[in-house]
Amino acid sequence: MITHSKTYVLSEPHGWDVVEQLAPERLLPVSEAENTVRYFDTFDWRLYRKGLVLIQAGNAVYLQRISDGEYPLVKDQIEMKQDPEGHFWWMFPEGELRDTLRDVISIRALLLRAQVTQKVCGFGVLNTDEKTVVRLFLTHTNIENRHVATLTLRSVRGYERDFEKLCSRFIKLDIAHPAEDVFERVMNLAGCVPGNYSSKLNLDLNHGASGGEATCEILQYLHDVMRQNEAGIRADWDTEFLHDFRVAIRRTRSALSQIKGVLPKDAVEHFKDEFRQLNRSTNRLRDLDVYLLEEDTYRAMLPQSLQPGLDAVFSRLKSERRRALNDMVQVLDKPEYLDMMDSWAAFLQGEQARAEKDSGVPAIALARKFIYKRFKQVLKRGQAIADDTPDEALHNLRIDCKKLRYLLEFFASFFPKDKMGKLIGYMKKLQDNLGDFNDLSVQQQELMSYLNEVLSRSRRADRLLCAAAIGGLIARLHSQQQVVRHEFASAFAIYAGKKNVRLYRDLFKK
Amino acid sequence: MSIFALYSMKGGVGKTAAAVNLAYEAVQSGATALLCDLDPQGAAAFYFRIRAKKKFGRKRFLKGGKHLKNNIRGTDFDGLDLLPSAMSFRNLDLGLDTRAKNKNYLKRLLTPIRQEYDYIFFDCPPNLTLLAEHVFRAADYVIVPCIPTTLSMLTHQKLVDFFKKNKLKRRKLVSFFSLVEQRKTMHKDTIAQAGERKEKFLNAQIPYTTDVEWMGWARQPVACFRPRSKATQAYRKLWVELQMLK
Repeated sequence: MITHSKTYVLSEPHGWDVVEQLAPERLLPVSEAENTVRYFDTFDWRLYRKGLVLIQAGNAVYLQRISDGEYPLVKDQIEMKQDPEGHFWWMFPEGELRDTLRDVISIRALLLRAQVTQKVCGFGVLNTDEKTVVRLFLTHTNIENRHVATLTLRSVRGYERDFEKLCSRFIKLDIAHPAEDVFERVMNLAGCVPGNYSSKLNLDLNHGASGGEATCEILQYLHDVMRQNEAGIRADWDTEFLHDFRVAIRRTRSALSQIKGVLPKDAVEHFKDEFRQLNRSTNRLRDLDVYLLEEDTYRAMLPQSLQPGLDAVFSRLKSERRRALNDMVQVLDKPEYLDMMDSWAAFLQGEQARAEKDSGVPAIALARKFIYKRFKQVLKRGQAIADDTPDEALHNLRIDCKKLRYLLEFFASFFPKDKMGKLIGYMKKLQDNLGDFNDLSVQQQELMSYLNEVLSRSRRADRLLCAAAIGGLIARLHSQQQVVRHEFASAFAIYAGKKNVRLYRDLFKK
Repeated sequence: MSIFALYSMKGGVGKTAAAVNLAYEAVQSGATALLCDLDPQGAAAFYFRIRAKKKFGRKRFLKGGKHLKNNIRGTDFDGLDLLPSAMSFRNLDLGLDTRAKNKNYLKRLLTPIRQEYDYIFFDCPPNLTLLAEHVFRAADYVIVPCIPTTLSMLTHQKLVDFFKKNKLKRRKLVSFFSLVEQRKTMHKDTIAQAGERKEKFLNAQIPYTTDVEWMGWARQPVACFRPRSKATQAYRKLWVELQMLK
């Protein structure tokens, strides 16, 4: 159906009078409805970033394209009595809506972002044949005593000229302005800013910033990310809150150890130690999350006959996760943690952080120095790896790559976007290879230790079946790892190729 | 996507009324539908208060593509569009004869708009010409309103024979009784006899009521101004049955 629509925000709370001014003699009231409307998105606004929002109005749940911002959109609407709060995509009934959600929100849960009451009055504007040629919707949206009135004009197919005429007549009335952002207005009234959280580092450092200023800004940003994710970890909405929390810790530690000579040494040592301990307390829960997320993949690796062995494995992992989550929440609630974070924030804001000798050096110069040095190290270590080099070397290279990647991300805003994009692209391919290799070896180790436990302690009748399932998995993972290792040489050759080396030299060697 | 053609060789059996009311029922549950008026009388457009654009006629219709798309107009009901007819549609046969190498031309003409709609309805003119043959091939179901009289049944039999002779799929042909007056013995008997011969007629019957005639005054589907009329209920029942066809 091809229809056009335009929405205007009325400058004052107008009612029926606006509509009457628009088309005094030929108006037909068609519908009137009042609803509680709830807007859902993931914590990191995955729907919003694709221009979508999930809406629940009464029993109806549907995805709306934000740019259309109109009422009502019937397509893909499903009936759902339950509250979608905390829902994952797989909890929706099968169909187009669920498929779209799967592709967009992946493993994140939907959270309630705003709740409003909306009264919508629909009118038809009639021509001399008394045929509806334009539809009008007057919408009053209320959030906690705050109020927006909007008027939406929607064309009827084949009567576009009447629609254009009415739009221009409405603009002449001068009582409203076109609103592309009705959605954002509603969100702002509800007190949230769409897109204000992302797991990516979106830093925009001041080009003239000194090393001290830039470093503190980076660390402050990471501090905020950690704090933003605490609530989600506590409530256990989904696994990605902990993941983002951990990445922020890792980036903080990496910044502390890599950006040398800018922050006072003893403070750096103190906080490095604090964050190392904090990170350690998150390890167990994250490991368990990863296994449970991969449940389907693991199951697919084994033949039907060995499947029952996995049931026991996973039910054990699940109960262990419950305990690990409890421990994690306790850590977050402890005064030690809260004091540490407060003193960390105070340190970043304070004068002490800017007292060191390199603190005044331009950040861009420091960035070039650190990045180029790290890059050379990666090249050197990578070139030393041959087919018979022990696995240890690959693990070390992976850590070096990660450090380099973090540096590139911290200071990305200093350098041209397109070139940084290319650099990060090269980096990513190599990291994917090293990451897969590492994941596979960690999983094998974990399964190995679990196997020992099953064989030595468990008295359960199905322990042999369990052991067979685990054995099967280890074998599969091992052969996968061999393949990944084999691919390393070609992945690294591309990374160490002329194009990439020249990029680094141009950008960072000064 | 299904295409229903409301067709009968006889005039005045309630084709247009059925097409308009069924299309209206179809969009009530959120589906989208296009009513394609092939009858030069233009009664369907009249019921929806729609006038075709002045330049629209047989030639543009047969060109298809955007010429056809640009002339589709929205009705007062969300999801229901109409492609109006024009006086020049009386010569659609001639156009089809010179243009179309085979009798699937009309079917192909619809390809670009098929995915826009869940249902397409044809309102056909009352004759058995080349256009009708194109309609039979394009439609998934040919829905035939039948007045329960001897003569009507005879005409209906001729249509069945035509389908057989031209190797058209017999299961496409679906009939229902229209303008039924229960107080007339002839009507009752004809319906009973059809049942005995095990002919395929739908259970829903459209009664003879003035409510349907009032559509010309109200210029709306009967459900809009006589929601509790027997006619409204009958069309609703008919639509339920049509949806279950397979």
